[in-house]
Amino acid sequence: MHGLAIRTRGLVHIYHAEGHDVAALSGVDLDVAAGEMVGLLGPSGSGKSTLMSLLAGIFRPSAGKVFVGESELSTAPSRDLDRLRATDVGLMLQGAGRNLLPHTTPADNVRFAQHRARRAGRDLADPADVIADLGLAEHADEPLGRLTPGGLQLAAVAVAVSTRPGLLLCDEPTSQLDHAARDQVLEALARVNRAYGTTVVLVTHDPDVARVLPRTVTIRDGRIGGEGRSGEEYAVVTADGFLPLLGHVRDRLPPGTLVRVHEVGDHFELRAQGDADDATGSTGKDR
Amino acid sequence: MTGSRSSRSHGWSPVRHAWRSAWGHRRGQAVALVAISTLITACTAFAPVYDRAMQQALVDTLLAQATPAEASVTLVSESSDFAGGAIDSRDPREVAALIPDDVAARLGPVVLGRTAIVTPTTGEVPPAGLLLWRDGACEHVRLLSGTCPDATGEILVSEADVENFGLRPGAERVVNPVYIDDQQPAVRLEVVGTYAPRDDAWWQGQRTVGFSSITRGLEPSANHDAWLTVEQTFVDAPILTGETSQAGAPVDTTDGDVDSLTALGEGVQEIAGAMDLRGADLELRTGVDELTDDLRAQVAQAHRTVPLLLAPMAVLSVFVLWLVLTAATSARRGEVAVARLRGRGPAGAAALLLLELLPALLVGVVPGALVALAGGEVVRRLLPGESTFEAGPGFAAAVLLALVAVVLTTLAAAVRTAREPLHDVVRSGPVASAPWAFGAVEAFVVASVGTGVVAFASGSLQGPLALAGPALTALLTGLLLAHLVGPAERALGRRLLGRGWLVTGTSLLETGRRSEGRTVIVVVTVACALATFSMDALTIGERNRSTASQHEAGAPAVAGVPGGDLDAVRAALAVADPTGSRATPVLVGRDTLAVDAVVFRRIAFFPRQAPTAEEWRAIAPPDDQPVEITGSRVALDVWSDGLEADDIFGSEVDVRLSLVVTSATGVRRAATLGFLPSDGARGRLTGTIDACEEGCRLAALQLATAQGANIRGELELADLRVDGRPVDWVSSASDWNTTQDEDTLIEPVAGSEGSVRFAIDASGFYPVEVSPAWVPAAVPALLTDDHPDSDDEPLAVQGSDGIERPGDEVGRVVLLPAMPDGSALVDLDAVTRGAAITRDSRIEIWMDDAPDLEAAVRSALGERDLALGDVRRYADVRRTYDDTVASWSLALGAAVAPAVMLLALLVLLVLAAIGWRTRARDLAVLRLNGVDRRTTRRLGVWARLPAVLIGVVGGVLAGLGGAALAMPDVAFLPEAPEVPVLDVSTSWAAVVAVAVVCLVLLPVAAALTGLVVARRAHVERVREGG
Repeated sequence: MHGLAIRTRGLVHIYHAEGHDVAALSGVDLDVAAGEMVGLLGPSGSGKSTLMSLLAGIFRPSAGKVFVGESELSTAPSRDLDRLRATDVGLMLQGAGRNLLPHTTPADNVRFAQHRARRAGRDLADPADVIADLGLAEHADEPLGRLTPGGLQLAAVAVAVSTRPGLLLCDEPTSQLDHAARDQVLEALARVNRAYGTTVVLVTHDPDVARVLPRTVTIRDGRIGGEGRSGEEYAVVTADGFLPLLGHVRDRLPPGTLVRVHEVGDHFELRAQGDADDATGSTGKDR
Repeated sequence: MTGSRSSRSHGWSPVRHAWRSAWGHRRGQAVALVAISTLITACTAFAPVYDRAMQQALVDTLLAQATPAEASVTLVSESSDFAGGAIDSRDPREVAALIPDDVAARLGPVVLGRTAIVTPTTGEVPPAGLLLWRDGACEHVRLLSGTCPDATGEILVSEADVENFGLRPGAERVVNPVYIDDQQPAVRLEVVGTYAPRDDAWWQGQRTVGFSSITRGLEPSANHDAWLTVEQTFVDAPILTGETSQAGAPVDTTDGDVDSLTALGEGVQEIAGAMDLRGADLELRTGVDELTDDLRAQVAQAHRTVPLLLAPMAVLSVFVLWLVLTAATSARRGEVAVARLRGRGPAGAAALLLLELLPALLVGVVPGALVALAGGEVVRRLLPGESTFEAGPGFAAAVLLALVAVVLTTLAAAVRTAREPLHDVVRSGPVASAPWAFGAVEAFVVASVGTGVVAFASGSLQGPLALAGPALTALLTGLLLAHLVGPAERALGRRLLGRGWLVTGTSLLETGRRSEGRTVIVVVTVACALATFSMDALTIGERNRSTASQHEAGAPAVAGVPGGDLDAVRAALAVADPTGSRATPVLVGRDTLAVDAVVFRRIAFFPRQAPTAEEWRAIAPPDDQPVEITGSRVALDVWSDGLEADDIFGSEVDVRLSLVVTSATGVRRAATLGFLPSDGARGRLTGTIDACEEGCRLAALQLATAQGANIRGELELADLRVDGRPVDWVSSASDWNTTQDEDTLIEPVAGSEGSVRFAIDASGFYPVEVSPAWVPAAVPALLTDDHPDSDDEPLAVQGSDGIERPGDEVGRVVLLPAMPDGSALVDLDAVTRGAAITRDSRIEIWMDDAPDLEAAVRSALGERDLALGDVRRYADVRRTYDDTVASWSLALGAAVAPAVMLLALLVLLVLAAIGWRTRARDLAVLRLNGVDRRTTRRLGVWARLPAVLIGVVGGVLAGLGGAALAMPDVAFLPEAPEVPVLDVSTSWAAVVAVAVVCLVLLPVAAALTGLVVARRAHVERVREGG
């Protein structure tokens, strides 16, 4: 199974609340290559979870398009979305318990997750092996109530990857875990990514987690606010030519500030009006 | 990971998962689901079982109450005679062949018979009576002497006939046929033995003895008891008077059930319909058709009352099931979310829910059916009759209906949750409670129910739909309360919280905020309303049966006394009841009841409204003393002062004066004294009154002359003497009544000392009378409410002689015991003064129902040659009302009330079982924030109390409202009464009892569940559900 690429174009999602509408996403253009492992970062309410839900087909976008592999989710029939989630897209909601059938064991949860894919003819790993791969072999048939939080989260990962999906979406998979458990979970995700080429997109608030990810995408105010690659942070030019400023620059260029862009050698300079001699902010871009 | 499938793997088993989840981890919920399914099935299946048991009991009761003649089918062929001859009746076997096989199959053995009326040709007063042949009669009588008839002309007679007519064995009598001639010889009958009857059922109502009697007097007559003979007597004899042949059989009660009796009734109707075609000589004698009509009518009643009580409960049960299931499915939203995330889709998620919920509910159907059957068996034992227990097709259909209702409701609840948008299902945290404001669906429901209630209240909702009235009223009340009280509770709760009332404020706020509070209000309201309505109906039914029985019986025991000798009856009662308080004579006329007020008011039943002491006093006769006349020769001084009498031609006519007297035995006689002297003359008139030798009373002075003559002038009377002795008689004008009608005016005026003077102006019909004031001019009477207003029409009451006489209304009552509408109650003394007692009135004795008293009365009457007739007892009448479908249907209320209470309790328990974790966590959060344990316990206890209390109060009020609207349509009695015995006013005792039970039971249950939840509010629970 190869990983599934993600492509969103002009993705807009509006929540209709009582008396007013709230735009959670305001035109997100995101490309994730098949087999990539990407972290979604951003402050609370920035739209990360909404984006995850759109990628999983839980929501349909108010506007724009979402491609997962060859499937365009915004107009896909519900039946196709169900099939997609049964076989190709694994989703881990925040909080391990929300991803598992209560009153059962990890093995039973894996069996439940694999049931439809197996009926569809997919050749899948034995549940015990799936669980063993996550380091939970000795807890496979234990009731969920006896597992540690880390164990629960690993069980949730096992369930999410048990159908060997092309895309794994994880919402805060390491929250409320101690460091050891967190590292275990991250290692498991990375292993899945490496071993099967599964595209992994995870939402996190944890800088330590973000640091180990090869690529991060920062969502801010419903838009792509920047990207990090191997620890380096970048602003991303949007399809219509806008360049959102990175966080630390925005503090120095308050809204309404007039900025001039100068091309200086192999990089660009931003110069605020009235402060010609003093570059208030600059960023570089490889040409 | 590998791509192969290991042998260690076993597939996902939805069934195993559902079993573990339901019974391993949510056992409480599963038990609750089993319980509610059991309850729904039991209630649904119990209805047809109860209905069937009632019908069977009704059949047994009707057959038991029916006379042998009514409970048999007899075809009779009558002989006929005419001017040219006579036609014999058919052979009984031919008659028997006319009974269709399907009818005969439902009857007992057919008994053939022949009957004729025979009168011996010899003897001073030859007795008339029946000559009978019944096939096998000798096996159904007690042979007292001699042998059974074996040959033509041999007869068995009763001992009474032996005594009255000397018909000893060996005696012979000759009876004549219809036509007497040489070819129709007389029939010779010979007595070969005596018998006494036994085995009434076999005789199918044919009375054989009790006729033998001799009546002497001016027109002496005699009757003999039935003479039993052999068939050959009839065969050999010419046609006898009134000869008939017959074939009859009793209804087979050994396996008689409602279907059998109904089919028999239809068969009998077919026979009746075809009678004319089969011959004019044939007659069908049976009461089966009336029995089946009664059966159908009462079954139809049951089909109104049973749904009235059970249908709302069934609806409530399904409503509760829906509430429980929606709560249960909401509690499984997490699993639905997981299923949807793993690509199951709504159908797959619904299947997951159904697999867990449905088995528990289906399991509950089995004990529910068993409970219904057990209930049916209990009912069968409680109801009268010996019918066997039957489940019947109705039971199977009801179980199936319950099953379908359970499955469909579960399916709807599961699909409802499973079809929610995925983003809603996966949302973390508890589902937000719906706002208290009306949603579109709820507004539609309230509007629909409200329309139904308005139609019900205005009378537009009729027929079967009207049965839904009370339930609709309850539901509307519950829904409105649930939606209107919420905002008020929230506002009040906030205000109380602001003032530091933590527990009360929080409880009100919670009730106003959470949808569970609304659910509790609706369910408790409907449950309490149904309990109130059903118990109210039960008690009102009890009251009305009591009223109807009391009215119909009149007194604990009532028996007629043939003959009109009131004085002898009084004398007998004086001996039998020396206290004069346990038995009283009553004179019953067509529409007038004459009573001895003092004793009667103590013994008789006045179920709806008893006359007041003032009214009793008002019907008393005048205080004037009667003029006692004891002797036979009467003399009176007469002075016709200016009195003229002319006939229609103007010629002078004589006017005859008589004294009218009454004896204590109720005989009224007029003793003629002679013609009045000519105008201005004085004279002494004399006459003889034989009836007064033992004493009698002056009832009136009577004037008689030619019809149409005019009498005008004044007449003065004085110095009444009997056997030469002066009589202390009424001699002032005030001691006499005025006689006045359209033709006559006789007015007492002042006369000389010791005399009485009358101004007379009469024309028309004679005789005319004027009575002493001892005889009431108008009889004071208590009237029933519907009696015509005496202002519109002069009031007349029936006198003891059957003749109407003027009455005077002194008051009104709703019912007069044992009397129809439009009747009057008068004083026995008042109505018999100056009047004869004739057979137009019958004498009855109303008494306490005590064997010793009855025996004493019977004995005392016997000593005076009087007999006590059949006794009508209140207890028997009451039993006939109690053993009816109307009574048994309402008795369901005793089962409905506990059942709906159980439902309400179940809802409280299930809501607690489903929501206890959330509630416990909320309380734990409070504890974490410093609220002490005592306060959290109080909060737990008070959590549902406001909703429960509001529901109880609203429910009781709704029940009262529904009862006020629906009770007039409830069948409380087997037939619509002809008198206003029905009183459908609220039974406050029942309502208060239900309210107290509701106010204790439900709040205690709510408080206990809250306490249990509060005890589990450990601080550690805060971490749950994050």
